[in-house]
Amino acid sequence: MPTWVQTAILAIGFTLGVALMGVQMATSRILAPYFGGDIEVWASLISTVMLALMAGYFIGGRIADRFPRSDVLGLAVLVGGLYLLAVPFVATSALDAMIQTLPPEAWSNKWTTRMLTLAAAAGIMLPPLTLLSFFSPYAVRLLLVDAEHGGRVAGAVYSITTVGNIVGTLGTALYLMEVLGSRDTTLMFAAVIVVCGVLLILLRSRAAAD
Amino acid sequence: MSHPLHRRALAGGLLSLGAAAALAPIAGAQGEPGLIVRRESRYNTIYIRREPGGLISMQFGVNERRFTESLYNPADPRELPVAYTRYMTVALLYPPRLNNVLEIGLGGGRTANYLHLHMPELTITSVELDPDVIALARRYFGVTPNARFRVEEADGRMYLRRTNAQYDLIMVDAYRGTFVPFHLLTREFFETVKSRLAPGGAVAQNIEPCTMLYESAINTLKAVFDHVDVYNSGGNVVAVAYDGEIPTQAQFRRRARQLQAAHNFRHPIEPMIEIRRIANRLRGASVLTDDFAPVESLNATERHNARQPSARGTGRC
Repeated sequence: MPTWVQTAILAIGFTLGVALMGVQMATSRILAPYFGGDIEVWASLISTVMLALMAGYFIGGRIADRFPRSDVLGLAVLVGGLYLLAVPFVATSALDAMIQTLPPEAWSNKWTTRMLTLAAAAGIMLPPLTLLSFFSPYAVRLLLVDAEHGGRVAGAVYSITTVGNIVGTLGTALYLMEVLGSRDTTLMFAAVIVVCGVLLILLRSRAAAD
Repeated sequence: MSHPLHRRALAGGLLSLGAAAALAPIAGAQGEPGLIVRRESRYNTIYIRREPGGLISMQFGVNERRFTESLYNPADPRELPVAYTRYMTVALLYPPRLNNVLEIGLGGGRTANYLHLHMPELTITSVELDPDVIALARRYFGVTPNARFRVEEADGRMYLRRTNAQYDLIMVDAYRGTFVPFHLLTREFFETVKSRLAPGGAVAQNIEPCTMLYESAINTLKAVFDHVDVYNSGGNVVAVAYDGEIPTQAQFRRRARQLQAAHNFRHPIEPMIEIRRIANRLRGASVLTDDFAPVESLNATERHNARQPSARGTGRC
C-alpha cells in the first residue's frame, strides 16, 4: 500500500472524528427545544454516541475481516452521511409529531421524558454514527502490515480519530454553532461525511497485509 | 430559576430600605455569616441567606459568582424588595381579563406569590425546572401552593408545548445567574407562548440589559408580537409584548386605578407606567431562533464593549 493511501486513510479518520463530535454538539441544539438542555439531555447524547461507537467498532471489525476493502467501508460511511443530510429536514417535524401524538399525561412522568430524550437522540445519531464508527477497526485492518506493527497501527488510528473528536467538539461548540447555527452545522458535517465515503470508495484500496 | 441581580444592586436595594439597624448576622452552615442553607441541586448551587435588615435571599452560584435570584421580607410578605419584580406587575394592565396566569421560572416565587396574595381569585401556575428551588421557596419564601397557585416542576418550554390551557398573561423569568437557557429565548419559543395566550393576552419577560443579548431579545419579541413595551426598572428591564392596539397612557391609568381599587396592591401600578417606553426594532441585532441562537457569545459581550456604545438608556450596566 503506497504511503499516500495510508496518509489519505488517516486524514479521512481525522475528518470523520471531527464530524462525529460535531454532529453530537449540533444534536444537543436540535433536542433542547423539546427536552431542555440540562445534564439529563447531555447524558442521553453522550450515551447514544458511546452506544454508536460500541456497535460500530463491533460490527465494523467483523465486516472488515470479511471484506477488507476500503470501498465497503466507504459505502457504510456514505450511507451514514446521507442519513445525516436528511436529519435537519425530518427531525423537527418528527419530534413535533411525537409531541402531538403523546397524551399530555405522558409528559408529567419523568421516566417517560427521559426515555423519549434517549429515543430522540438515538433516532438522530445512532444509525449514522454507528456506520461512521466502522472506520477505526476497518482502518486498522486496512493499514496493518504485520502483527509486529499492530500496536502502532491501532494506536495511530485511534489517536488521530480522537484528535478529530477534540477538534470537532471545540470547533463546533465555540465556533460553528455561533456562525452557522445547528441546521447548517449538521448539513455541513453530513456533506463532509458523504465526501469521505466517496473518497474511501474511490481509493479502492485493499488491506495492506493481503 | 428566577431573575439575576447583581450584588451591587442588592446593596443599593438594602440601603434604600433604610436597614440602618441591621440584625446581627446569623452564623450559618460553612461559617458564612447569614447563610442558612447551601444546597447543590441537579441544576444549581443554591444559597439561602438572611441578609442584614431581615430579608431572606435566594442566590445561585454560577461561575464563581453569586447572583441573587430572589429577596423576601418575612415581616412583610406583600413587599417586593426588588424593583423589577414590582415592574413585572405592570403587565396586569394589558390583558382585558385576568383569570389565568402562567409564570415560567419560580425562583423564590416573589411575583407569583404577590399576585396570589392580592388576587386570590386568579389562577396562577408557576413552572420551575429545579425541584430544590421549589422546596426552598416553600420553606423560606412563603410559597404555599394550592388550587389557585399551582407550582409545576417542568421545563418551561416543554410545559407550554403540552398544555392546552390559555393564559391571559405569561411571565417569563427563567434565569440561572445572568444566563437564560437558549430555548427560552427563541422566536419559536415565543410563537409557542403566543399560541397559549387568550385573546388580548400579553407576555412579560425579565431581561438583563447589560449584554448584547438584550438587543436580540427585544428583536425576537418584536418578530413575534406587534408591540413591545419596555420598563427599565433601574436594574433589569421588564418587556411586555402584545398584539393589537397600543393602549394609551390614559387608558392604562384608568385600568391601574380600577385594579388598585379591586385588589389594593402593596405596590400600586399607576406610577409604574410613567417609565413605559415603546420599543422599536434595534438595528444590528439578530432575531434568535432555535436554529441560530448564539446566546453564549451575546451574553458574554458586555454592552460597553459593543461596537456602538449604546445610549439606549436601558438600565445601569
